[in-house]
Amino acid sequence: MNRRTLLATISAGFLFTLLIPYNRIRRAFLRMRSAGRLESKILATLASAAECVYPEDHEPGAQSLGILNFLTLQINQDYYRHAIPGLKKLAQSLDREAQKRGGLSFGDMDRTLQDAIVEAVNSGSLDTIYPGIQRNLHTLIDITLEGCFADSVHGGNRERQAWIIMQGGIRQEWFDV
Amino acid sequence: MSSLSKKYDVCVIGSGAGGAPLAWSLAKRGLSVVLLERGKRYSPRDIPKDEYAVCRKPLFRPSRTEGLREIHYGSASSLNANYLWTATCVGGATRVMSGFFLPMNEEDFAPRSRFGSVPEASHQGWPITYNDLAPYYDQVEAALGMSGNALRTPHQEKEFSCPALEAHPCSQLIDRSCKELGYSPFPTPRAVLSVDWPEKDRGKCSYSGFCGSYGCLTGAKGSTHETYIPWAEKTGNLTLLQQHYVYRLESQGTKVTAASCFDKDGVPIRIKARLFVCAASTIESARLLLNSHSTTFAQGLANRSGQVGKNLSFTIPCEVTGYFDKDLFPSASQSNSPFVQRTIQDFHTLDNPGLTYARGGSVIFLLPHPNPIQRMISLSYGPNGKRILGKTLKERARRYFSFNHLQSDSFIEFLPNPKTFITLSQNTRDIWGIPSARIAIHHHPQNILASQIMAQKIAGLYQHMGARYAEYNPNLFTAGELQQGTCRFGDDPTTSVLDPNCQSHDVPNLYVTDGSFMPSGLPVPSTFTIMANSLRVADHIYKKGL
Repeated sequence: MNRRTLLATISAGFLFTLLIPYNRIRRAFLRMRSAGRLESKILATLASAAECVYPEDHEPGAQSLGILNFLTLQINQDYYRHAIPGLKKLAQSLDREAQKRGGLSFGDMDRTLQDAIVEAVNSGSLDTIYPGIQRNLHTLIDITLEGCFADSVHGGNRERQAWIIMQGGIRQEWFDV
Repeated sequence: MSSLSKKYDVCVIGSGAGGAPLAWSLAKRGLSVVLLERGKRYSPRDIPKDEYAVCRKPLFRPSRTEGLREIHYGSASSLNANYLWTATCVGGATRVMSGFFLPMNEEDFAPRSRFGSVPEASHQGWPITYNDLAPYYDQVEAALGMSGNALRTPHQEKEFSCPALEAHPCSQLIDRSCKELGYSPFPTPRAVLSVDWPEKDRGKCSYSGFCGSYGCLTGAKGSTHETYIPWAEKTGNLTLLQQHYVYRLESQGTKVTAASCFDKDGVPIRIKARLFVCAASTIESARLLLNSHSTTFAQGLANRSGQVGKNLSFTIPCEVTGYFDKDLFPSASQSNSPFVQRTIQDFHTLDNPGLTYARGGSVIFLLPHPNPIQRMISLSYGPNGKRILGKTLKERARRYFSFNHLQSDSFIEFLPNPKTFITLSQNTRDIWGIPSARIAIHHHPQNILASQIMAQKIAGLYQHMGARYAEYNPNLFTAGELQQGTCRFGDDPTTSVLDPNCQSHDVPNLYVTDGSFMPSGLPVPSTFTIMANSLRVADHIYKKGL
C-alpha cells in the first residue's frame, strides 16, 4: 500500500467514525452483549416444564395449547432477551436433576417425576444445588401463562381454547377489533 | 453536538397531562413551542386491544435494554427493573388512562390543617386553593368532553357536555345497597365521550372494555394525543419532536439555555428556548434536574433547597374484589357496558381510634381488568411468594371464574416521608450512559392502616350487596401510575422547589408541571388536577411574559 492509499484509508476511516454516532455503536454493542438464542432442545425442555405449570385435564394444557410454538416464535424476541440466560440455566438444571433422579433427560421422564422436580424447584428446596433456579422457574411460569392466555396470533392459546376456563369472564368478541 | 438553528419561545419536555395542555395554551396565543417526547407517536391501530402486545411488551415504557431503574421497596434488597413508568409515548399516560376525572375537594388542598400532622410524614398544605383551580377544571371538562349528567362531586353540582356513559347493571345493585347503608353513590365522571364529536374528529366510546391500560380506537378517551396535541399542531406554532430523549438541561448561571437530547438514532441535539417546562413525569423530571447539575447548582438544577427528588408519593389504588353469584348480575361479556360507573366519597374522613391521620379517599367501582394474562398470573401467586402450579392452579382459576366479580379501587393518599424519594443511582445507567433513577419506597404505617379500614368498609358494602366473600389487595407494591411530589411547590424556597405558579425558586425560566409539584398525595386520581394546573401555569406564563 503506497502512502497516498494509506492516508486515504485513514481519512476515510476517520470520516466514517464521525458519521456514525458514538451512541448508536454503544447501543448496538449492549444489545449484542445481552443477546443469545435458545436452541430447540432447550425450548423443548421448557415446554415440558410449562406443561407441569399448566397441565392438561378435561381442558387443554400448555403443550396442546401450543406453548412450544409460542416459545419458538416469541422467546428470542427483544422483550424476553433479559430472561434468556435464566431460562437456559433452568432447562439445563432440570435436565441435570432428571438425570440424577431417573437417568433420563427432563423431557423424556414420566410426567409424575417431572411434576415432582418442578414442585421441588417451586418450593425452593433445589436452590442450594442450582442457585437461582426457583426465580428462573417463576419467570417460566409468567411466560407460560402469557403464552397460554395471550391471543392465538402470538403462537399459543390454540383456537382460544385456554379462555374456556374463564367462563365468560372476559370479553372475547373484542379481541378482533 | 448539533443545535437546531431555531430558538423557540418555550420548550416543553413531556407530552402527557402536564405538558400538552400548557403547550396548546401557549401555542394558540402565538408563542413558538417545541414539545419533546421520549416515546413514539402511536396511531390507534398501533396499539391494538391485545393483552399481550399492550401489557407485556414495552409499547409504553422503555425496553429493559434501554436501561433499568434501581428500586428499593422498604427493607427488601434492591431490584433493577423497568418499573414505575407511567407511559412513554406521545400523549404520555393519558393514552392509557381510564379517564376517571374526579377533582380535588376544598379540604384536599389543606390536608395538614384538616387532618393534622403525623410523625415521620412530610405532607404539606397547597399554596393555592380550590378556587384557584376551579376555572381550569371547568376548561378541561369543556375541552375534553366529559361524560355524565349528574353531580361532579357530592359537593358541587355540574352538568357535563355529554350524557353519562352507559353503566353495567351491577350499578343498580350498588345504588340500592349504598343508599340502604347511607352512602351517596354518583356516576363516575369520565374523560370519555359518550356521543360522537365530529367537529373535533372524535368518535364515541365503543364499550370494548379494554380502556384503562389500553389505547382508544375511536378517540373517545380524552388523551392529550386526541385533544391538546392536535389542537396545538393546528395553530402552526407547535413543533412536536417524538423519540427525543432529554437527558440534561444546560444552564448558564441561573438560566436554562438549552435542552440536550438524543434523537431516535442516538444523535445528540441541543434545543434552545427562552423558557423550559419539565413535564416528563414525577420521577423523570426529578431525575432530569438532578442530572443537570452545574457549577452554580452542584446538587442538581433548581435544587438549592435540596428538595428535588424528595417527598415522592403515590395515590394508592387499594383493591377490594367482591365475589358474587353469577345470577346476581351479568358478567362483563354478557352486558352492553363494561363500565360500572359508580363512585362514592363517603370515606374521605375515616373514624377509627387506631388512625391518627384520619384521611381516606374516593372509591371507584369497576369490573376487573379484562387482561386474561394478568388475571391468570395473579391467580398463580400463593402465600409467602410461592407460586401455585399445575392442577391446583387450574382448580383455583375455575373457582375464581365461577363467580362474577366487582372490584373497587380506593384512592388513598400516600403520605410522603423521609424514606420515600428519588436520587441518582450510583450503580445503574441507561443505554446512553446517563445515571438512572434510584427510587426508594417506604409505606407509612398510617397508609397501611387506612387501606385496611377502607377495605373493611367496602367488604361490608359487598356483603350487603350479597357477595359470597371479598378479597383485599392493598396493592402497596405496584402503585406506580399515579405519582406525585419530588419538586413540590410552596411559598418557602428553603422547603420547596417551585413557587405557587410552579416556577422554580432558583431558575426563573424553568417550570415543572407534571405531578411533581404536588406537596401531598391525593384521595382522587391525579390526572385531572395535573391537566387543570397545566392550563393555570400556562395562563401565568402568558400573563407574566417571557
